[in-house]
Amino acid sequence: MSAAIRVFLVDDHRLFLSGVRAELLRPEHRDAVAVVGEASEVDSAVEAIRASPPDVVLVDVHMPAGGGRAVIEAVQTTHPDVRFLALSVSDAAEDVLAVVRAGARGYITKTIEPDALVDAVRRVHEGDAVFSPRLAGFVLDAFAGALPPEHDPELDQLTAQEREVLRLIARGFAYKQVAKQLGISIKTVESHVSAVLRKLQLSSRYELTRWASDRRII
Amino acid sequence: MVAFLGLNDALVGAGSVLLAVGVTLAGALVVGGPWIVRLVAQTRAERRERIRSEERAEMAAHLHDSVLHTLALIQKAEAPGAVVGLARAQERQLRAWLNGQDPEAADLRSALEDTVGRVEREHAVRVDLVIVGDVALDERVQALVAAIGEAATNAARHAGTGKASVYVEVEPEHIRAYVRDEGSGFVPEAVPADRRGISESITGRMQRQGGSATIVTEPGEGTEVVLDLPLRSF
Repeated sequence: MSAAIRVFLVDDHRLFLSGVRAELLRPEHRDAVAVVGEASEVDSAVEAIRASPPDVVLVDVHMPAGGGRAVIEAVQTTHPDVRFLALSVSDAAEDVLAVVRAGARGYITKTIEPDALVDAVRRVHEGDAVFSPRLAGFVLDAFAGALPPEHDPELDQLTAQEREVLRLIARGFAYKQVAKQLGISIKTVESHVSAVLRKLQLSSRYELTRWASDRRII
Repeated sequence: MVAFLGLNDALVGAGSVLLAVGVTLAGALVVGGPWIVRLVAQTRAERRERIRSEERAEMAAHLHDSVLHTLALIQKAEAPGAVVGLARAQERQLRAWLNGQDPEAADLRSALEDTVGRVEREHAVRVDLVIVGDVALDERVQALVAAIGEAATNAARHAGTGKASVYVEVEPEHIRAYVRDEGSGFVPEAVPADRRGISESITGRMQRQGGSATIVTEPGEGTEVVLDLPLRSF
């Protein structure tokens, strides 16, 4: 049995903080995860994470003073090994995609069930990406439509199979079920999802979509 | 004395410079006056608009941090089904408003939010709705929304898991919808004739619009209803 994953919680809503903590501290998860700290503000979170870097930070998308994005950007300059998983009650695609582009390895909603939460933490710790159905939908939306020719097609478009994997996730299939549906291994599903995450973080595609939607062009 | 005269000369010089500047300014004012007035009015309007949107953002942030969290907490707590349903419905409405959606908008997204919200309320289930793309509502798209509502209702009634997923994607040539649960599943051939809700309200509805409905199920494997509506006229 490997050591428990050290998790740090960042959320300005204290009631929720204690709720998530209680879920992670359930007896059946004791061997898997350990909550090593928590903070409810951006500055104190960055300070505490730097002082004693955890494995995974569960970070709220919406907080005063820059939100989860500010925490991720600040910590990554000094501790690039710390991994982030965004969780939020928010739905707005811009907010969620901004946090993922800042470096979060996934996004889950706060109504997620405890077992799924622990599973998501484990996945992020192992370096994989965690795509909830909602995030898969946002990403399909962001990558939809035609592109001006000068863009890098490698980065700015999804392959047919990446798209298919995202669709199945959006339909509510777990990674294991996605693998079964497509007749590929779970490892392959994970590598597709990680590739999508990388494209989301590196491509200019999303800026473009946002630019267009802000101006109501699309 | 000489010094005084010199100073006087300097003052006269300064006076004529001031005059010249004054005339130039007056000319500029005549030429640029209307433009300045417009600019001032525009700046004022922009400022008002900015204050309004700042107020809205502040309000939204507050609702976000307080009410949405509370509604999510109620759903996580072991509250009675009806309370959870109510919290979920309120969450959905508030979220739509926060995201700047027009509740009266006649588009696929709003209609689906409404329909799925109703199923959640009436059957005390959680339905995860993911939509990619959007399209204006017409009679055919409305029929699709109604068929999705029927399929989600079936999932809510028979799956026995308390949750279902709806995924809808608008593509250039058609809309595809997937309504899925991880419930008990069933043998399609074994459905008694008096419970043909599926064939009439889902399949029939889709076929009348030139679309199709496929049901994928097996006992123990959950159920997925796949709906397809071509968008091109035919």
